[in-house]
Amino acid sequence: MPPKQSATSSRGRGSSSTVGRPSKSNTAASKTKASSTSRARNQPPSYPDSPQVISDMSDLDPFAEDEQPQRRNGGGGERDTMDIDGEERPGQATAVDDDEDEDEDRKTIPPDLLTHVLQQFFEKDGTRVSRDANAAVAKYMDIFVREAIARTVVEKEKGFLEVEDLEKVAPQLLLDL
Amino acid sequence: MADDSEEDVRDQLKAALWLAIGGMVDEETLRRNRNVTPQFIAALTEMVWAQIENVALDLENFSRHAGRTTINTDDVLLLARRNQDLHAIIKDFVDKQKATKAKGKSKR
Repeated sequence: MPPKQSATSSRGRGSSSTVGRPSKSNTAASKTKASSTSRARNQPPSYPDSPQVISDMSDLDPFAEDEQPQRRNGGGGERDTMDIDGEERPGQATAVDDDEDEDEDRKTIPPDLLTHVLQQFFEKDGTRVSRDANAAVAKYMDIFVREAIARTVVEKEKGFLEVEDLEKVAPQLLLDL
Repeated sequence: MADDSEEDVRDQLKAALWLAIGGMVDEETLRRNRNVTPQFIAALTEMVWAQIENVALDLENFSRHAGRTTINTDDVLLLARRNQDLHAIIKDFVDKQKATKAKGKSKR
């Protein structure tokens, strides 16, 4: 199982979670990964939510790859399982723990912060945001940020990502989102 | 005076946003084995800030147009109307949210 994982992750793009990680956590994570991947494959019926989670993630990637359609053909079938991995696998959580944060699988813009920022910009008094809508906007901004990074990574193939690289992808990004 | 405090709040919110985006950028770049300059994070924060401003005004106007003062998920879906993939993602997210909410209610 672990060798297969590494094969897919070198092929896939950013969603492959093993790529840039220090090797110590890599070996540790790949063990959990092996077990939990099989678990994730066996269990879907018991998780009514998981199909939507998958489509969340797999939708997220394809349109990050608008400029690079050949990759879509490359990892299409396997990316689903990889994305399950990324989203709800304990292995991912431990990997993030290694970095710094422990409370969530992925870092996002905190919804409460977003509420306050939105309130800052409302022009009319009494405009309110429902909780679901706020979470949806948080999701939107999360996609925005990750899309910006993904496009910049494609734009600049090696070296540090710099402001100029972001500037190159910004216009199309703003048109697309 | 009031302007000053307003500015302060803005600065603090922007700083908090910076932190959150910095965390996301770290996560993504670590996963992709890439590096970013701090200026990149700053520029991205500015971009997100400006985008939130646009989004906030759009949402406000959408909800008012529908005769509401509260923004709901329909307004957010309208926001993503021009990008089908994005629309699908947000719709999935909203539906999932509703499903979990309905489940929670039926349990109680």
